[in-house]
Amino acid sequence: MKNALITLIACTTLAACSSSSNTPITSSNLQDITIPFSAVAGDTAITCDATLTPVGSAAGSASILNFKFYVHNVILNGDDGNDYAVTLTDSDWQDEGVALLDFNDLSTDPDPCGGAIRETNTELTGTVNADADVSFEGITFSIGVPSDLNHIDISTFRDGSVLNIISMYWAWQSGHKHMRLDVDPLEGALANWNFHLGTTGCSGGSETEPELVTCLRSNIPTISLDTYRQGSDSIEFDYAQLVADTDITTTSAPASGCMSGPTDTTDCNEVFLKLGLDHSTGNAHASTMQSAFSVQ
Amino acid sequence: MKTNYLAMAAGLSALLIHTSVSAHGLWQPTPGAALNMEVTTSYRNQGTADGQLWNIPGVLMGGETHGTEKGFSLDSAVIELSYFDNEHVYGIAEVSVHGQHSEVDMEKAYLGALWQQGATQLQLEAGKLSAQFSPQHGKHTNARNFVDQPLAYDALYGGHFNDIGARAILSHAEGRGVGIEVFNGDSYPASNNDNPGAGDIFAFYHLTFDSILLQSRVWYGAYKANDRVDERLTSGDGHSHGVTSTDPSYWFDGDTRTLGLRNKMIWLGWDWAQVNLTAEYMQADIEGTVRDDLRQAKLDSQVDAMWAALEIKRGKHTLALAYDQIQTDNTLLGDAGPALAELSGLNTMSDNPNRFRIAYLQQWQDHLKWSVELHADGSTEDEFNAVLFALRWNGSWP
Amino acid sequence: MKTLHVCAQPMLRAFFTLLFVASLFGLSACNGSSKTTFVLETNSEFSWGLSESTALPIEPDSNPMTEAKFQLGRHLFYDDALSGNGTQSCNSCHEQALGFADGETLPVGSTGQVLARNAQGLLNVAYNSTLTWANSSLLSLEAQIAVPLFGEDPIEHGINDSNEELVLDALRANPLYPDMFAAAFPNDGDPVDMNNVIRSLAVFVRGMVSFETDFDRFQSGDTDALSASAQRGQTLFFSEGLECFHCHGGYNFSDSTADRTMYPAFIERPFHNTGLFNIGGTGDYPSDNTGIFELTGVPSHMGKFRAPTLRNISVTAPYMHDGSMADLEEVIDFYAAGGRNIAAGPNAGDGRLNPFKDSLVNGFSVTPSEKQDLIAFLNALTDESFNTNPRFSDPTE
Repeated sequence: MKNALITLIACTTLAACSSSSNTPITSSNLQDITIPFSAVAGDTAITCDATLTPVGSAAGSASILNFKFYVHNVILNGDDGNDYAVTLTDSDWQDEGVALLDFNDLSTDPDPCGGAIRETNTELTGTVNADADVSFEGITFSIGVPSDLNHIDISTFRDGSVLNIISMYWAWQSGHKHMRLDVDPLEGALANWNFHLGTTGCSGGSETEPELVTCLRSNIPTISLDTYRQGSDSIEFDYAQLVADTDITTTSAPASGCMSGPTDTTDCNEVFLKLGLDHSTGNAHASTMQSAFSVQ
Repeated sequence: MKTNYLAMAAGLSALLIHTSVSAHGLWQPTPGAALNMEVTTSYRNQGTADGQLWNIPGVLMGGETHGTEKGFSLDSAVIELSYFDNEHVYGIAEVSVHGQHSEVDMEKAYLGALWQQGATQLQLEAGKLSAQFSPQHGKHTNARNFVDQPLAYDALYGGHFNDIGARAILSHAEGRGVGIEVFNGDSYPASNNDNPGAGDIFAFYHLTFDSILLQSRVWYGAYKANDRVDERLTSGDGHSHGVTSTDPSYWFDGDTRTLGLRNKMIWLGWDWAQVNLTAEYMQADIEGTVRDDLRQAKLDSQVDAMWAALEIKRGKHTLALAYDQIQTDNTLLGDAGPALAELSGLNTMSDNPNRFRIAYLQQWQDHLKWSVELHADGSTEDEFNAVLFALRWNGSWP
Repeated sequence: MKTLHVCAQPMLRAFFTLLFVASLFGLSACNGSSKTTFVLETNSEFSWGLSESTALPIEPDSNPMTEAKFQLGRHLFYDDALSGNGTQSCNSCHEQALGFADGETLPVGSTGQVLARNAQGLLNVAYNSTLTWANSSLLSLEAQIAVPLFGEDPIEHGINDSNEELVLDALRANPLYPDMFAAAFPNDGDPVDMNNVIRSLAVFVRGMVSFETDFDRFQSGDTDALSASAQRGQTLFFSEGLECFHCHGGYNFSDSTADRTMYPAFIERPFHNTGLFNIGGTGDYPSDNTGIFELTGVPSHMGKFRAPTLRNISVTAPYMHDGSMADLEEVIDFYAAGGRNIAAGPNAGDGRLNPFKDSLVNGFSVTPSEKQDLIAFLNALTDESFNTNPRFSDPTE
């Protein structure tokens, strides 16, 4: 009885001590984070009116038609040695932890990049739960829509959600285009050379979650940039780098450009490599790192 | 609810130790080997399984409950071999043939040990056992007034519960005791268990009031079923009665818990005849999943089964009346419920399944008894009346 | 202990007397009657118009069936405003009189693009375990309807980012719609959006269920419902010799069938290669029509398509995913041959030898009269009442 009492007192005291040393999670510890992105082709910033040159292994030029991609699962590396997940704030450009980066500065009405001036989105906004004295060096993020959201029928997302945008809906595999980079090659006969990155080989009815779709190749690249410093740096995506080893003046079946399909190897292999992906497996390539994203 | 029953049984067994009533004596087996044989054969003009698979509506039946068929029948043929040494050890083996199927079953084969100290006796038995929660269970046809056993045993125990396991019974010479049985759990309502998956506890108590002898008993059993099928459809013992409708296969996974209550009143106050009144009430709580190839639904079922029998014996003559009734309350959760209920026979009928029987038995010769029974059988929608004649023979050695 | 001994005995006497009385009177106490209660997980009160014994289709939690959505969906189904250029409705390729097929070899989208696959009938598509001809990932009508509305290759309705608001404005301008949308989606502030268009179309199409064919009448005991020839055809259809029923079996005559009574993990979503092509002898199908191979890239998935229902088959010609067979006679000859041998041209190759062909498409022999019997049976699967039911018809006519 006496021992029990001592134990009880000891426990209570310890609990009191340990709780005081813990960092209580309050809003005062939430840091607002903005992560700026830019898209270029070599030295040229991506806009609807820009002529991108040289692009592709044939060193041609092109103009963009549609230039958008999704980002999710953003993690900043704190200088205290901890990793901090960025909670993306819901907005017109962000929903369910997924952000859409959109570089089309002209609307697609009547033609792609042929309409009135429209808003673009070139940044991620969110919060991290970290003390104010923690700063961040190094970032990791994934391109595309995470698997658990990708194949839900789009009418279940709120009207106006970035996950409910027709041009990013991928009817073919009933999911989303993770990345949609459509360009008009100015040389050659092709009207467009499109890159649609998306998850393929999907089927329904797994034993454990029969109502969900599972896929053979996720095709979701993870990008890590160790030298990124939060607050002073931005992240640049270089289209010229993406297609550096791909001739965008020609294409092979089934569609013009790379549609991520398992048979679309000629158009996709090199583009996937620039994102650090192995086209044959849909996973990170064993040896080649991504080269399309860099820190500026 | 269930814990109440358990507490009741536990309380009862505690009280047993501290009471005393009139003595009934302990089991005193004769040392050496013995052989008992019984044969019961009958003719009936209508049965429950004539051209169909017998299913008491609302009950997930199984085991070896084959029902009865019109015509001549070998209801049971039993050979029991037993051996007792002088001290503590004994062995019992029984093979038998039951009903109209000709398969010979090893009903029991077990070793036992017996210790007696003063008025107290401890029995330990292990092997293939016939459960002993009620003296009615596993009672040979020869020892019953009626050829068919009560509906309750068909509905809840698949005819009978014989399984490999072990039991211990502690009893007192004055007619009280407690017992516990643990089984592998491969016999209906249990099935396919890796660890012991079935068991029961029971307690009994005998009381005397002047010329009335009252024998009471309570029991509680628990049975776990994995991938249980209706073996009557799959055992291939020729007893599916030609029922080969599209695909009758379904499976049950879940637990069955039974609570039983038995009272037998023996009235010795009438010189002209002895009157016995026996009543049993059993309740089964069944919770689990019924499924077929494609569908699945949750089942929550309560089956209340009861029977009562009056027996009047005078010399070689016995007149017996029995009434049986089953009441089922099933709930199936899930859209597959109606289809699975149809497939597995869980749909109830408007009346409670019941049966009323009258029997007259005469001990014709020392080893031969004949009987006639009248049945009003309402165990299924197709109610019928039937008449049955039976001959029973028993013999023993030495 | 002695005290307890004395006390216990009367207590026990009372207890057992009580037990005995209870066990005797248990009989009368349990005089209630047996019952079986079903607790269904049905999502809505929607009136399906099906018989009690028919299993209902799966209904997504996110879009329960209501009559208001059904009626809105019916209007939208027949409305040309629901396309990028205002020229095409669902009805353009799904006509009720033809079981909601279109009678064409291949349909043409709103911008003139010829589709690669034949337009299918819509009877009982609510029971399909996957939708369209070959898409292992399309599990709900809500997901499927986005394909014709928003698909870019091929373009069907041609709704895209540019014209989405114009299409919605056109719907808002129809005096019927604001009230109908509000009635169907009473909790939405501005209910006229594409999500609700998809939801109401899905409810309408999911509600297109019927089991009222001569075959069904025969099954339920009307022995005159099938002619002697059709009955012979039925026997042939369900015979192991012809094997038809393996892929076209079950109450909806398709092995790719799901309903809400089925345990989800047991639902099957099969696809079959029937030996229509074998280009170059490598098993290939034409590159624009490779079945689920197109999605998965798995070599053995080449040429695998979903087995469609045979209900209404007589009115949904032409047949096969590419509409390449004009009538049922040709289809039976094809299966009797165990595949199709194309002697010349770009698609040349002996489909009978396609390495990915389903093992049940082995060929069989039928006499001309047996073939007529089979066709008589297939004709008995026509659901005339569905094809003329005003509930599914154009509400503006």
